[in-house]
Amino acid sequence: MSLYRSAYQRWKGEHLGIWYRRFAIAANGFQNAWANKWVRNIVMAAWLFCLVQTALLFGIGQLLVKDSVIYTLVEQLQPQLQTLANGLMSWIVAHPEISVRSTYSFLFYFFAGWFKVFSLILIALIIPALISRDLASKAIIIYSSRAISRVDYFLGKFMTVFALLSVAWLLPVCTAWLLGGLLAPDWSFLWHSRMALFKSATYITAAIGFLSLLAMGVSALSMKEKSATVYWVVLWVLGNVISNIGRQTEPWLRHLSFNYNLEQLALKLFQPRVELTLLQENVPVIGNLLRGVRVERFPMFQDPHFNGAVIACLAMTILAILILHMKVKPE
Amino acid sequence: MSTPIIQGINLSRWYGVVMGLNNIDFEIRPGITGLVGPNGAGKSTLIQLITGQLQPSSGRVRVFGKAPWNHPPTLRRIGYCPERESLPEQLKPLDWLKGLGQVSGIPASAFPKLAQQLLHQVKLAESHWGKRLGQYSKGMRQRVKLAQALMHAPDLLILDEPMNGLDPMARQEVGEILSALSREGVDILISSHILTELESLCKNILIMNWGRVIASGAKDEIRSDLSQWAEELVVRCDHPGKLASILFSEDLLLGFDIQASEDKLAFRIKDPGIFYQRWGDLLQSSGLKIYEIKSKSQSLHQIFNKVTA
Repeated sequence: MSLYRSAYQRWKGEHLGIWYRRFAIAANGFQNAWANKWVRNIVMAAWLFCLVQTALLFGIGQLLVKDSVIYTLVEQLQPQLQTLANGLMSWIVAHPEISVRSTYSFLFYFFAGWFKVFSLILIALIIPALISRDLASKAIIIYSSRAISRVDYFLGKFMTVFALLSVAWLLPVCTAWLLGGLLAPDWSFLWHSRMALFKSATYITAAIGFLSLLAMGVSALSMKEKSATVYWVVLWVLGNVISNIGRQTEPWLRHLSFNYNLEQLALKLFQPRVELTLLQENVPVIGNLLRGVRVERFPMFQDPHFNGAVIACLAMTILAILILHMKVKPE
Repeated sequence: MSTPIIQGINLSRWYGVVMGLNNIDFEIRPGITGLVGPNGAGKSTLIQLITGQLQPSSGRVRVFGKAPWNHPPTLRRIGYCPERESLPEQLKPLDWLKGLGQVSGIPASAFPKLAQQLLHQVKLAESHWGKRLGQYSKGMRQRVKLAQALMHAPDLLILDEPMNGLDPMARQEVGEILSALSREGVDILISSHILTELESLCKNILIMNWGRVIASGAKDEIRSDLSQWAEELVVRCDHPGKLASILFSEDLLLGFDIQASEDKLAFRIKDPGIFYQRWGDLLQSSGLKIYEIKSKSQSLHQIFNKVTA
């Protein structure tokens, strides 16, 4: 009996559609990334931060509960401080639309910085397997001979990074918001903090989309897997150094750092300066104290260089797409 | 005559100033077709154009009537086994085949059965399935590459030097698989720089050199055409020099070699039609004594060597 008759049967099923194939690329990429224990550790660290954020949001909620631990603590304070704390808490109860919104905004802004660091580390870990590996092993030749276009391949890779960063950033933040709201004594917290969530989700989606494309471009730059990580770290660190130099010399230099540009986008969306002004004008006693904050000393209270950041991000995105176009082909 | 499955029309491909393919026209019909030519002949470039890896610099290439570049419906019908090492070293074969299968639109539920079946088919021993591809020998890698090309049940299988690195037994097995696939209705284009590898397998041959198609068509037709084009005779007679002089003066030769010590004249015929018309008369009128006339055997391999020399 011939080999053919003994072993081979052609597969005769229906081929699934293009989105299934794109998701297959993304899912395989995700699985490969997840196989790295450092990736799992970083994602776990991000979720621990989610718990911290949830705990803080829970604490804010407890300010509204008369018999909560916070009240017990306040009762043990000196009379003057007690008056101050009671006044503050009364205001929070009276004006949740301002207190909840501002507190959440500040917290989400603060945590966005940390989550961004986790995401940048994650990218450094997964970047070798993203495109460099396909180029180094020449497996790109086989992938490009399948029933997918280059755009499909890129979309699949993009979804790989996007999904991973979502698990490490977008999902923890959304979870923290949900848990914070659910654990609050009053579920109106969910409503009053909606803008903070919206701003966060918008910022994170834009940031991880941008970072995903940037990571793909950097990964396509290198035919050696380890070099891809080095390129990414150099781009990150060098960008920060140049950005700091730019602060004291040529301001446009700051936009060479993708990190700086993302920071400007965050400032534009979260508007900590506006939130500060709101608190200064509305919070009794503490508002007066906040008026003493010298805003010029804190970068977070400066006007964001939004237009420059958007242009720089667009330029970096176009550069990444150009690199992908030029480097990722079987020739 | 059956409709061509692959067509090249004024097809050229440059790499900067280097010409990979030079304005070629060809048609490949159903069945197993051998693509033969020495290294650098343009075989891989042609295959890359057919599999949609490259765009033509000018002209057109059509596979099943469509341009394959960036055209997934056409690519779905093609299975491609590249010449180059192209396996991700850190993956195991079953995982890799599953991933590729899904990228080809095969549902996840078909795995691992389908991948196992394919690995059995290409005779990759089960004991190696747990190893990473980076640990495989060249022959084992070739088998995995062949398996991935067969995965999505393509209508056209394109194999670039698939026998490289395989031992004789494995070559025979691959040959059997390809014959079986051909019987199943799968068309196959297989390239090699060693013609003998393909001679027994292929019905049709496309011979290339210097980026051009030198000959194409059914194997026997090519043999006939090319043997006429460059037929070589060896005649043993009493005066080989005189015979050479007569044939040369009649403008019948492309070239000759007198081996005086053996009374032999070896010569290449310019136009076999005219030559054989006049050959009898010339011999009679020359008065030469002819002891032996021998036509050099024209195996396809010899023809290939001759035309690609």
